[in-house]
Amino acid sequence: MNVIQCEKLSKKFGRLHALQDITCTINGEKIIGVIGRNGAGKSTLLTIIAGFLKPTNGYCQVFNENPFNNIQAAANSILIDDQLSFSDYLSLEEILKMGADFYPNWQNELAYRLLHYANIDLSVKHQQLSKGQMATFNLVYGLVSRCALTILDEPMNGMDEAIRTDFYRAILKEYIAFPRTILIASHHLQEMESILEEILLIDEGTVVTHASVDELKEQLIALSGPSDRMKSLLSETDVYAQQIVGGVSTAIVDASKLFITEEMLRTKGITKSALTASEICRYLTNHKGSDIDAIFD
Amino acid sequence: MHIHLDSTTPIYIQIAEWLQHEIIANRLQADEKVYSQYQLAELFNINPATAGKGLTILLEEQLLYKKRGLGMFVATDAKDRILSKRRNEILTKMAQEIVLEAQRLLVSDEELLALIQKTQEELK
Repeated sequence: MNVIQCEKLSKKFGRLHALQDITCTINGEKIIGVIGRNGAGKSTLLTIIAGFLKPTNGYCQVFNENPFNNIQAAANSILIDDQLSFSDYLSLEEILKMGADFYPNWQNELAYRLLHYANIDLSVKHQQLSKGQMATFNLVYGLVSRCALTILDEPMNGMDEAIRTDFYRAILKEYIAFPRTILIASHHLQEMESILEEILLIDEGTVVTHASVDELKEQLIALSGPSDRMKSLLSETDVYAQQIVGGVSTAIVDASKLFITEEMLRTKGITKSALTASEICRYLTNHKGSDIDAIFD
Repeated sequence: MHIHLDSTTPIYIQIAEWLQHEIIANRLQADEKVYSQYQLAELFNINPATAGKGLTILLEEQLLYKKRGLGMFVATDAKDRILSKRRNEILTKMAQEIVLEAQRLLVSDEELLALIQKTQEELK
């Protein structure tokens, strides 16, 4: 059974096409990064998957059912984002109590321990928390619910670096203790790359690539060498970026379209190096002619 | 050991190399149980699937073997095989470097061979 299946999913807000023909399948208990620039459509997609929004066209199924207004889907999935709000009249302790009543796998003791570790006082109200504390509380709420589908939309926004590092580890340990499908949308790919299994890269409302982190890292490589020798090589492949400094040319190219052996490169004096997943995502979503320098020319 | 995220080497290969290093250093001995993918994941703060891929490499090279339901163990001859493989790889790589450098410096094949023989004699 697929956890999530989207087929030609589109969402329009008035004249704005937030999502266009999203087709993707997510299965298995994996930690998946949902990556994209600002306004790429990440949050819209996650909100549809969580069943809070209805698609304009196409369909989305979660555990083989339409998630919209579906109690079954609501009990098996949770969406954590900065819009998450709780009653103004309840203390954090009471909010946790209600979570325990609703979610069958709820880990109340773990919630207490994590919040104590983050120095969050359980007697206060949700809206009295600072921005970072609120994000921490919401993330803890999402983790201890142990929902089969846990969706975290920018869960670390507003948290300081120390607590972010701790909570990436908390996500990993909770996942190992109780494997489930975890989607994490974030701008901080670099920070969380090592705990991810797959990446779903979204740009302008469509899926650019959906691959394991290792596969993604093999898609683009950096080549660097004398400009004249690089020129003939670059004509064979797709070039994503190029920079020439003092006769030495450095280019980011599509590795799958490059048919040249390591030895050939070496004899030509060209060096090959790998990029981080975060750099690759940036190049894959760089729009034609987008160059900050050009603005100042 | 620290995992280098920005390294050219993929994380799963770094894990495989670390395990080989532990075997060479006798910290993992013949027929001893190795770390599970979940232990490696916690140890290095990485996804268990990535850790699993590192173990699979060693399993495919038969440096580890599986016991059903018990986990993976170090092959009896693992240490010797890693050592001889490393010797071959490092020597081949160094030979390539020497040949390339000789080409750049316009050293002829005869001169290069003579140099190697001379060095061998000197270091005997």
